[in-house]
Amino acid sequence: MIAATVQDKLGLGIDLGTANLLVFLERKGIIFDEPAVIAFDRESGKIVAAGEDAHRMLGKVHDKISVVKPLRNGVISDMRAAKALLNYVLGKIENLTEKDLSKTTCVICCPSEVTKIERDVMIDLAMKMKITDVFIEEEIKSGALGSGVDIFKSKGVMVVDIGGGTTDVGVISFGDIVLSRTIRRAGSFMDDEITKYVKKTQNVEIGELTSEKMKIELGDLQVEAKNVINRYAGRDMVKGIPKWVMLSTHEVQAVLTPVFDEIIKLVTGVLKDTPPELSADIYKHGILLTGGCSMIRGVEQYFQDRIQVPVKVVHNPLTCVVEGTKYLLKNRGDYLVNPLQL
Amino acid sequence: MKEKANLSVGVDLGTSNLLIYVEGQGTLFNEPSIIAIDKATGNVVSVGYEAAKLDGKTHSKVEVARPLQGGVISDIQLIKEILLFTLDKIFLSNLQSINKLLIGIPSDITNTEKEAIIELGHELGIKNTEIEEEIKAGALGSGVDIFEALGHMVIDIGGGTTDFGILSLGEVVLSKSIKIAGDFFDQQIIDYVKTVHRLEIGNQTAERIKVELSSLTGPYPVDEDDKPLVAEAMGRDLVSGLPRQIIIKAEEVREVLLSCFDPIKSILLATLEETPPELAGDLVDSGILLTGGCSQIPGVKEYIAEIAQIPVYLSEVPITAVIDGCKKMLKMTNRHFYSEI
Repeated sequence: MIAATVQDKLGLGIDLGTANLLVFLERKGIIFDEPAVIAFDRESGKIVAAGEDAHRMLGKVHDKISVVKPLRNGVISDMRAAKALLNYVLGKIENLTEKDLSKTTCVICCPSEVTKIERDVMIDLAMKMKITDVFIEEEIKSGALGSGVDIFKSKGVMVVDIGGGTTDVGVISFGDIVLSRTIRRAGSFMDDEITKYVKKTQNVEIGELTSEKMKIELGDLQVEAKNVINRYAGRDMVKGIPKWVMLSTHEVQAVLTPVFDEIIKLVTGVLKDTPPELSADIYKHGILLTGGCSMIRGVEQYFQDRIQVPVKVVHNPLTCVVEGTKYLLKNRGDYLVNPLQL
Repeated sequence: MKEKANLSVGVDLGTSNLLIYVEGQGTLFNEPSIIAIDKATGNVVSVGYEAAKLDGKTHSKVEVARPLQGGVISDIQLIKEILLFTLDKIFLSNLQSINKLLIGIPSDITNTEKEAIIELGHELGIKNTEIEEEIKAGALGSGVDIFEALGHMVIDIGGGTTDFGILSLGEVVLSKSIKIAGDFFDQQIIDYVKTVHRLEIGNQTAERIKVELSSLTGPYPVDEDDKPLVAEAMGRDLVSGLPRQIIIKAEEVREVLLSCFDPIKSILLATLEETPPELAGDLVDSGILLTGGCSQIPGVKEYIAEIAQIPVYLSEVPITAVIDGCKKMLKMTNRHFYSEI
């Protein structure tokens, strides 16, 4: 009977992150994996570009286009843009009618510590898309599932998701979250810190695309990181003219370390509150790192040195959350039903 | 002769030159935007080179006028006359055959003036009249791909105005304009000769001196025998009132030009200062494109590069860049922000 209903219904999993939007469609796989950015024509309100193309426009547009990031710090800040972006993605699916949408089950992943209102906004978003059956799940749960961990055993698993807007830390056992915390320190915060650093030390202003590039190219937390010096373009604040800046791995490391130290502090805070029985599990099996910023070189070692438990970055840090929705759609987040066995 | 009823026409309405492009036929008109009118009857006597030759040499029955002064429209009626006359001259008297009209305008033109130009198109019976900023057309005409998400800077040193623009995604991000360009240089040369040599010279002479002798940096221009170039200037002695001839040296012209370029320098810096950092960063690679007649003054490229510390390129088609850009834009059917067709 279950199989029959699944056939009729479409399953949609959405990881609406600050940096990236990923959409999973049942029986099709991941249909969208691009930056959560959308560009409008101001005059007509039409969509000019979305995803990768819109991301490239950041900081480079004229008055006729507005480039919007619908999410800030992990929650929806621009409803219109979020709706347009989702509409754009759903529009890419062939043979999708409104009637299909009304029969769709949709799961949206969100950071752990968001308010009721912020969750309602997410549900509201899906309702506006004419999807009636919506539920919200925490990103860490979905991420753990997506990375292939069987969370339905009575075994404690700790997940640290360092994403674009928020870092979530949580302990999962027996199919659901035991405790979780969130801080607004993640990828975009690191970008801002790098921008500030370059401004302070070199008197050069850089855009958000450039600071992101610096983080990706030079971010390295290893103690004996090889010092690489790269050249980036920005604008001299004193003279006003365009200028090259030189930035080294060590400088970026000096900027990133305080941010990661805050994350470490959060992790130890969560560990302190973890029930002792689960602590033992975590001590044995270690911590799972997910999210885009776990791809910064040396993160694993950095955590291990400070927390003294084994740390592992999952094999699919960017897509694990949306891959996890595949399973969540099957059990609707019910801890009693193990979708891995369905 | 029955003409096709779907011709597209592009017009570069510059202070010093008027260029008209007709689709399928190329640039048919490229002459000074000067008009000579019979005062008594109001009839057009001549337009373009012929009218320019009359400049400063006419009797009281003919008036020689420039419909655009300092890059703004000084007389909309004259623009209509000049357009009608030139279109007639290039055998396009049947205005019904024009389907689309694209007019390139300077950057800091006001909305009222924009409306006036569009209105002008409607008066000529062309419903589909559009206007575009000259810097955008100039960049496009010089072969820059302005539709990518990459910042480009264009400086158009024309006759009436020098326009500065930052382009990205096929549109102008910010632009500035200053009424210091070719005409102003001529005027400064006239003033210089007046104060230093006590001689009054005309516009045509001043322009000739500018074209022959001007340079901004580097060695002074020399002739075939490696002797420094000089120019003769004839005019009227201010004191005696008699015609007289003097010799102008390249050093003198450079001195005049350098003082003219000071305000251009400060506007250039102001433009760069206001550029969003991401686009300013792009400029380090993409550099600055120079177009317009006065970009051909030797040393301008080096002068700008020295100030901005980024590469500077000269357009290969400084005079026709805008009209070439209009040509490309006429072929586009709708607005493209991201990629060219």
